[in-house]
Amino acid sequence: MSLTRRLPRRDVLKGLVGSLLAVGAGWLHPRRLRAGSTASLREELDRLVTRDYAEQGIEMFLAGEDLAGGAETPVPPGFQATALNRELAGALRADAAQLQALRDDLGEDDVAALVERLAWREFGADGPGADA
Amino acid sequence: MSAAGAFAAQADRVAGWLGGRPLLRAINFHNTARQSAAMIERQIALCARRFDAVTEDDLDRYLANGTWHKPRPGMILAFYEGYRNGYDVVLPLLERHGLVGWFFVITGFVDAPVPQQMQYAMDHDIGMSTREYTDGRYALSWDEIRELDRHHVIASHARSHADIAAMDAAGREAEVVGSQRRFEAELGHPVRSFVSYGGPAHGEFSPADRLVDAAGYQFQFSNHRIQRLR
Repeated sequence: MSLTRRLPRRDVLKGLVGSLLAVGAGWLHPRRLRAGSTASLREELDRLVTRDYAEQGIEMFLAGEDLAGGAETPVPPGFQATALNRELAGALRADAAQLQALRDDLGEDDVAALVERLAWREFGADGPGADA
Repeated sequence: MSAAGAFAAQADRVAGWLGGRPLLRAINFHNTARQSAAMIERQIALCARRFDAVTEDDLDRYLANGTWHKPRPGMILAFYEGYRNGYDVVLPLLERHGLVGWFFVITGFVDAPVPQQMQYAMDHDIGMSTREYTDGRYALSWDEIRELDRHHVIASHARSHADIAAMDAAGREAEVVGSQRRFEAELGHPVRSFVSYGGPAHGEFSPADRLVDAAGYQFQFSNHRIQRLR
């Protein structure tokens, strides 16, 4: 189941706030997830999907669910969404929309590739988050 | 639904999960050949600097409560299939850096006679670009799995790395329940976590759900989710 990018000036304050929230929640630099240009999205995806999945460690984000009380209540009672939750959801939706504008042959598996890219950006050893 | 529609719907679904559920970071490894050891150690060392290990008890607590209880975020280092180099290459790295490995073992690969293991791998979509063992044993041994089981997580990746939705009932039972029986026999206890080939989630294929429940698994891993079942 990856992404360096300088923040545009208008995002600096938002990025600082996001980072403070992230540290408080024990999470790292969600601003790194933010979708870049369409060209960078395409370049990063093209490169990342050619990794040898059998021989390389692939970064991924996973969502946890608690079905012990039934499938109708998968969200644990004490859960509160973090800055990273919001950043991930927003970045995935934005990236999916960008990718749809580029390609008309997308399937469900392409969503996994998008999440892998976000994970690579945030904590990949050779990603932009590696120096965090 | 068109392919484009399916993509958009899936992206929205996954965004909903990532936006509204407890999150976990994971790195998914498969073959961890010695020639890749430096790259693997770089990933593990980076994880050790930033993240805390996740055990099954940690996962149980996190998904039951919805709040993470360690100082740093959790990281699941997952090693799929049951390659021998999980013991030879990965275990020393995990222990050097103080992290926990999650070893998802295909019991049929481990049980395949040594002279047939390479062929078994080729027949069951178990990828290997490298040929590093001259004795022909490419799967973990049960002795190695028992040693890994002392401080790391042993989990079921079913029996034969095949699509359980395409099997008959007996085949599915052998995959899901049969693999658990092998772990019970060899480890002396059931394993708690399960993922099948292709990673369907609990709730996506009811015949498999019933078997996962019958086998007593507590956690089901899939492509985008980890589900606590009990």
